[in-house]
Amino acid sequence: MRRRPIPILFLCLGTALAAGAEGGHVRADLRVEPSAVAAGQTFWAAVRLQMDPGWHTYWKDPGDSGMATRITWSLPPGFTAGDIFWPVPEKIEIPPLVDHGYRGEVVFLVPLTSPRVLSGASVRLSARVDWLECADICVPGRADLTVNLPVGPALGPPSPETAAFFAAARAKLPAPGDDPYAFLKNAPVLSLGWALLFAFLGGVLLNLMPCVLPVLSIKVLGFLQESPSSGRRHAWLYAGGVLFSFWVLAGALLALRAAGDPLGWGFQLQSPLFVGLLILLFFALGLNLIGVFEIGTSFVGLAALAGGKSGTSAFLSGALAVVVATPCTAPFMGTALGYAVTQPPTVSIPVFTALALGLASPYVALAHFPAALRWVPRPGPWMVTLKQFMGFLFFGTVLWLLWVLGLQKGLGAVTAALGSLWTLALASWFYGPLQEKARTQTHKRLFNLMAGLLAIGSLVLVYPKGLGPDAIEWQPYTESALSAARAQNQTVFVDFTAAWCLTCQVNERTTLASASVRKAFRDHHVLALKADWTNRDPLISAALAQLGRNGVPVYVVYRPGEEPRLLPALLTPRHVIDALNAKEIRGGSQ
Amino acid sequence: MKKMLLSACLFVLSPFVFSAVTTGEKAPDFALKDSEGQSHTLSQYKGKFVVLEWVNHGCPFVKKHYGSNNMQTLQKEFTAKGVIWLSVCSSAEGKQGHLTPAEWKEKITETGSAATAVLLDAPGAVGKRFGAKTTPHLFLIDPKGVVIYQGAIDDNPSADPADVLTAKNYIRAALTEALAGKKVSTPETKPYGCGVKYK
Repeated sequence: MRRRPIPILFLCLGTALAAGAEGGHVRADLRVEPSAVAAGQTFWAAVRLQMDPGWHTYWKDPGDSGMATRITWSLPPGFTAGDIFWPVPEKIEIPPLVDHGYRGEVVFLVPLTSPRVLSGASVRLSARVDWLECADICVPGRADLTVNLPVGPALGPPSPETAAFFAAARAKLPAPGDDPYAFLKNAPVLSLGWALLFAFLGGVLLNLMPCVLPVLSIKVLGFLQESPSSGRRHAWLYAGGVLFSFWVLAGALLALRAAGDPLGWGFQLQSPLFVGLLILLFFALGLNLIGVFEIGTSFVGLAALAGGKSGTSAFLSGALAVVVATPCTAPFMGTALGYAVTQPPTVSIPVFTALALGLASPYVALAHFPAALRWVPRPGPWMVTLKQFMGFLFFGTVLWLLWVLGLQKGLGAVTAALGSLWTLALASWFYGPLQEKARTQTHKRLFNLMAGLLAIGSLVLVYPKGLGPDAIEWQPYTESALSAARAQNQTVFVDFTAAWCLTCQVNERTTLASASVRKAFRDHHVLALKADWTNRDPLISAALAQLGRNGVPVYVVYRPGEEPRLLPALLTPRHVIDALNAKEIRGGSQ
Repeated sequence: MKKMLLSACLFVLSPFVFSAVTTGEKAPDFALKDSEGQSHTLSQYKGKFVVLEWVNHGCPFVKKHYGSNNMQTLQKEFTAKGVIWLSVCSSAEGKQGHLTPAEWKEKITETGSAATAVLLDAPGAVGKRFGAKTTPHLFLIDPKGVVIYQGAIDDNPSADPADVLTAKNYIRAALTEALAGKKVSTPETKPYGCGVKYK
């Protein structure tokens, strides 16, 4: 009787295996690169496995133990699937065994080929994925995945996100001709002792990085004006600030990693909002350093950055040094962090601590060996010149961050950020030079108010609504794309536009970006075509002429089997929605 | 410089040498206690064919072959023909698959194992000496004590019990050939399964 539960449990396990339940530590998903499939084409499909920390899955040759992941396709008639393209695996050592597999995330690429003749509006591509997920124990996993893909005249261009996903996956494939087992030779093994040493050295080197040097230099400037004893105290407080920041970062990194987000260093710079705020902060600091305005005591935090003498400011500048150091991944730090991120907290926290100590060490050393201070030049008017020069280092950082923002969100975001900087510069002009011109207290207050409002304005500007992902997937206008979609009875919206056309830009940012229009586009399965007339384009000119126009904006809706409808130039969401619903267009000037 | 340091680390960090037995050579002798407390040595079975089967009942691959009755069928079929079938468990104490002798007795009843004995190798010395990598991992030793097969149970490295019906069973083929006095045509295959849970 006592033994009863065990056979029952065994039976249950057997059933679960037969039914192919997922193991629970790995998530699988399927996607294809093109947004539409066409006849007689070969295109990429990808199966992604995301593994919990500590778990791994296997390569085609799993090594001493384990099982290669398998993909079994169920495709419509005529479709064929090629072999899996396996990314380079890593060496997974469970002494005395050596396995070959993947941790974190892996993307398997498979070429699919469509038949010569393809009918129907869409195809259903299904894959059954079987894998073995192992930590110290192993659990079989299985997922049945499906994607539906519309059929088009040609392979549809992938969305930017999908294109990036596939590009990243292809980058992880072994180069042709490489020894497939090369990964066994250079396994990134690093003992804790070396990791700590590299982390410390990396921290020291961080002081020389262009994004840290300005902050550190300011602190050194403040340092020169202090007595040796208070210098020492402040040096240790600075080190404390650095440590604190690193621990906060380590905690956040570990928490995010636990949440299943595979992260690299500098991940906070992936947030355009964070980048935008940093741009503003550095620009303001730069203006301050070149002497456009002086920071009052009320700006406690900023005063600290600019070299305040209080203990708080020492601590805060230590913390700030870390925030700005993150983008500068010194090669040493890369090794140590790569190690830390894959390790449990008992290892990664000491590594982060070593990094922090390295970053703070030159400063502490200077405070404790005042002899070295003698080599540091005496304070004097040259410091003002140096301070002003530092301002330009900050502007350099601003330049770099603007470039980062541009890569993330494009020209629009950079323009918005520059507008925000312009506003901030105006604010600092009100706050600084104009104050001296103020004749009365009322004027002064007014100027301060203006400065405050403008500063807030600059914050609003740096968070432009247009930065969200473009929900409507615009495709470039071509005569063939238009006629192919019309031949398939698809509704088409064509936006004739140009960068220099202000009305076009306003319409695109308001009406065409509005939620109701986006929804209407989705509901009607609208093919959105953008005819960009920014540069001379005879095809677009001809298309405009055909519509009886010779300028932009022009908005045209093609409903299946109907004549094209022209929409008003001053476009409202109502116009678009009514046109898609084939209602009479009310109001609005043509 | 960094590379040098790294390789120095690698050198220091790899003290482990994992030995294995060579097919066609004599298997090393060993002495292990079974779940009943009885001692078994390899040399005592001289004159008989011996199968060593590494086992861990927590492993999905072992579950595949025991859950589908595949392993028990093999054990019954060949022990009836005079073959000694020894299941060996090298799971260290505290690791998956480690059972006390009492728990093993229950497990043997529950699974209907028809092995001659289940040998307990928690220190892992015998497993490492043979180079047992996975569960299951099988070795066939001839009456002279020579290893004539080592590797996987069959040719389908999956954890799906349904696959045992379609897979080519290597150990059955090796035993059938050996018992008929023929040379084993596939004397070595790559074992598949969970890693042995060594200390």
